[in-house]
Amino acid sequence: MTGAIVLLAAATLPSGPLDFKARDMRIEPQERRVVLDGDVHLSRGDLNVTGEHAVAEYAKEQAALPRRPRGRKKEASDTIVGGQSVERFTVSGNVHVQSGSRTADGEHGVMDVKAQTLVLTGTPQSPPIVRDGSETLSGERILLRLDSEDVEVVRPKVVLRRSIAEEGQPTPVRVEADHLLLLQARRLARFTDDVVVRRGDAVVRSPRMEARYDGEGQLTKLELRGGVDVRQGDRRATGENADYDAKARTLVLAGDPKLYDQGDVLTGDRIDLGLDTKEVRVERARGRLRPEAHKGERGAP
Amino acid sequence: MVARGTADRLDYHRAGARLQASHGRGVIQPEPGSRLAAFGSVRFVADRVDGEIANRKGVASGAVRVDAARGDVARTDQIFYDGDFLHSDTHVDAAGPGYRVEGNGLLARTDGSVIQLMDGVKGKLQMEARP
Repeated sequence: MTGAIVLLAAATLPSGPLDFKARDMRIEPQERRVVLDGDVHLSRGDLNVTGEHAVAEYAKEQAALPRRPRGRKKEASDTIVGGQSVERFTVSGNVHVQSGSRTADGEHGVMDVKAQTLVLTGTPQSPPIVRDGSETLSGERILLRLDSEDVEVVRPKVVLRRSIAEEGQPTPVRVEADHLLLLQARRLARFTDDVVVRRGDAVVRSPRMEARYDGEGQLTKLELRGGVDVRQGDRRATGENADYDAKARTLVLAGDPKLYDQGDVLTGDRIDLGLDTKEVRVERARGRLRPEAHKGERGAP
Repeated sequence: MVARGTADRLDYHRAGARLQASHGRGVIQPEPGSRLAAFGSVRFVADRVDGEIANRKGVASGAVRVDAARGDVARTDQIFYDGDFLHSDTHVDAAGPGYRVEGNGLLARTDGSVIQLMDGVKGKLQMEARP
C-alpha cells in the first residue's frame, strides 16, 4: 500500500480588491449584493475562480457617506444600504478554481472572505474534485482553507498514485472515509470514520487513519488506530492498531493481532504483513496451523 | 420622484413640449422606501440634454456623470431615457461602495429596481478579510 497525497493548498486571500470579469453585472443595493452573469472570472493573487454565475454579498455595515455640501440638510432619501466590502462570493455552474499548479472543480462554490474558506460542492454524478499533478481528491464537499492551506473533505475519495517505493507503474491506492482533514503545515492527512483503503486485492478498514508525508509530499507512513481489519484474498488479519511503512511496504499489526488464513490462526506480539510478497512474520507466535488446508498450493510439498 | 435642474442655456419648444439644455445639471429625489432610495439623492450633469417631456423621452450626451448620495458615480458619453428606463450602448465607467466596474452598455429602471451593466464588464470588488 503505497502512494502520496499532495497536501492541497490555495493562496491566502488578503484584504483588498478582487478583480472580476463577466458578461453582465447587476447591482442590487437593497439586497446588498452584486450579481455577475456569463463567463464569470474572479481573481486575486494566484487564485482564479471561474463559473457561469456569481453573487457577491456585501457585509451589513454602513457605507461612508460622501461629505454633504455645506448648508445642505440631510434628506429623507439618504437611506444608506450596502457595505463597503464583500463578505461572501457564491459561484455556480462549472466552477473551476486554480491556485498555482492545483485546480479544483465543482458545480457550486462559496468563498467566505472572513472565514477564509472556499467550499466546493457538486452532484452525486459529478462530485467536486481537486487535482494536483497526477493526484486527485474528490468527495461530497471540499473545503479549501485560504489562510492555512489546509483542506477538509466530507466523504473523501482519494486516489494515490505517486510513490517513493514503487518504480514504474505503481498500483493505485484508493482511500474512502467519512471525513478527511489535510494539515499542510504538519504534513498530515487525517481520515476519520469508516476508513477503507484499497490496493490491488487488499482491503484495510479502520475507524481512523493518519497519513504522514515527507517534505516532497511523498507518503512515508500510514497509522491506523481503533481496530484494524485487513483482508487480502483468503487471508484476514486484525489488530487494535496498524502501521504501514511506505518504503518497506509492510503493514505491522499490533494490539492483540491475529491472522486467519484458510484455517490457520496465528497470534503474537506483532504481525508483519508484506502486501506485495504476501509474506507473514509473527513475533512470539502462537496459534493453530492446518497444513492439509494448503495442499496443492504453489511451493507446498 | 421629484426632479429639478439648472442649465447654462435652456430652449423650450412649447409645441411638443421639447427642451434642449446645454451644460445641464439636475437632482432626483427618490420616493422614500423606493428601491432608488437606496442610492439616496441622485445628481447628474451632461453637456447636452434633449428631451420630450410629454413623451417621457430624452437623451443626455457629452460627459454624462451621475452621482448618488450613497457614493456611486457613473460616467458615460450618452444615455437615453425612455419611459421607465435609462439605457446606454456606449462605454460606462462606474464606482461605488465596494466596487468599480467598466461596461459597454447600461440598462437601468428609473425606480432603481434594475441596474445592469452589460456586454462585457470588468472591474474590482472590495473584500475585507479577517484582521
